[in-house]
Amino acid sequence: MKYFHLVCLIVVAVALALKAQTSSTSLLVETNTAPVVRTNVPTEIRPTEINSRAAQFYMKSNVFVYVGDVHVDNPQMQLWCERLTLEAPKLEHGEKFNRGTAETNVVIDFVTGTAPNLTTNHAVSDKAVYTSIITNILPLPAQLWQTSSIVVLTGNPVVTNNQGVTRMDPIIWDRIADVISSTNFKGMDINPQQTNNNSTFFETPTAKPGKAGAPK
Amino acid sequence: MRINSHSKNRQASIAVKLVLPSIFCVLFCLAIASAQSAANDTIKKFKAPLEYFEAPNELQVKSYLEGAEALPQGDGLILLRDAKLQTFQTNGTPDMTMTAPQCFFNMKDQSVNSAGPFQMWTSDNALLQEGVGFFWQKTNSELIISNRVQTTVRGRMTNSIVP
Repeated sequence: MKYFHLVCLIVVAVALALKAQTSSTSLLVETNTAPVVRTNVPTEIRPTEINSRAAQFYMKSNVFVYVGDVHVDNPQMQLWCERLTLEAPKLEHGEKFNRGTAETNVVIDFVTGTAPNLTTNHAVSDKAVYTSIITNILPLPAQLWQTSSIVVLTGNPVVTNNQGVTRMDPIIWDRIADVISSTNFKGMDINPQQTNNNSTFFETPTAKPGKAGAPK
Repeated sequence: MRINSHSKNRQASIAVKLVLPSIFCVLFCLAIASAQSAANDTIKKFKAPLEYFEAPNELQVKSYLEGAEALPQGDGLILLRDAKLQTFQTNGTPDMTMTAPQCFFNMKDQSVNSAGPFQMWTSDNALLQEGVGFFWQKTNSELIISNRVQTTVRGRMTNSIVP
């Protein structure tokens, strides 16, 4: 009888231990799978496709040239041009230099902002250069990485979005700081809906029911 | 005299009747033999290292060409069926692989070309190239695609545009 009780006790103890282990594992899994939210990551993750009539690839220097009816289908943008040159030289110590140059009849449709406030932009120019550089600004072995990501549109660039039509030559868009600048501003047509809404330039006053309607 | 001349003509006609068919027979046999020898020139499982790295990695293959079948076409040209061209890194890991159902390998300038379709991909599958008609030259590792180019970029590179 004593043995029976002892066996029952061991079985119960083992069962409890297993249950505790299972619950702790599931808790661990749940903790690990918690989604990490990044606002600037494209919502749709799919391959980028580049189509063209012909191409020339220089494997040693990692330069790819696409010629004729070039179309780039990227989750963040659509690009059309006649000639696209991609440069991605192999650099040492983790440094990166990527440059994409689109030439002749360049049309770019790209989305800016963060969800749900996304803006679709339509840009037209003769030339567009996208440069992305990741460099260590300190002498090795010290490391301090600096990233720059700049898009420059030249050759009568025109950007159209829901705000209006902007003409500057060149248009320099710093993607890290999200600042658009130009040394040669040509003009801007603001949409009537935007013109008649002072929220374009001034912050819209928000009603505070607790104070506005409160008797003094 | 007449009889002699007549017999000579007769002998000549017999000779012509015998010699001509025999010449045709010989030519026919030669044609068959040459055709058979051409068929015998087909090389199964063609493999050729095209290029090695410079010192100190001079024992490592840089580019390697294979084919299920190889048919010499003369003048240093080889027709390859089910061709596969691979490039490697200095540590021996594959870098890039290119396949084509049919292509020509020029032994003189060490180039590979085809008018047909081909596929090329990197070992990490991050980059896939497809097209119709290509020319690859070993000396400067240059690839020219003449028609219907399609590049698919997968993985991190797709979203690397994000700052």
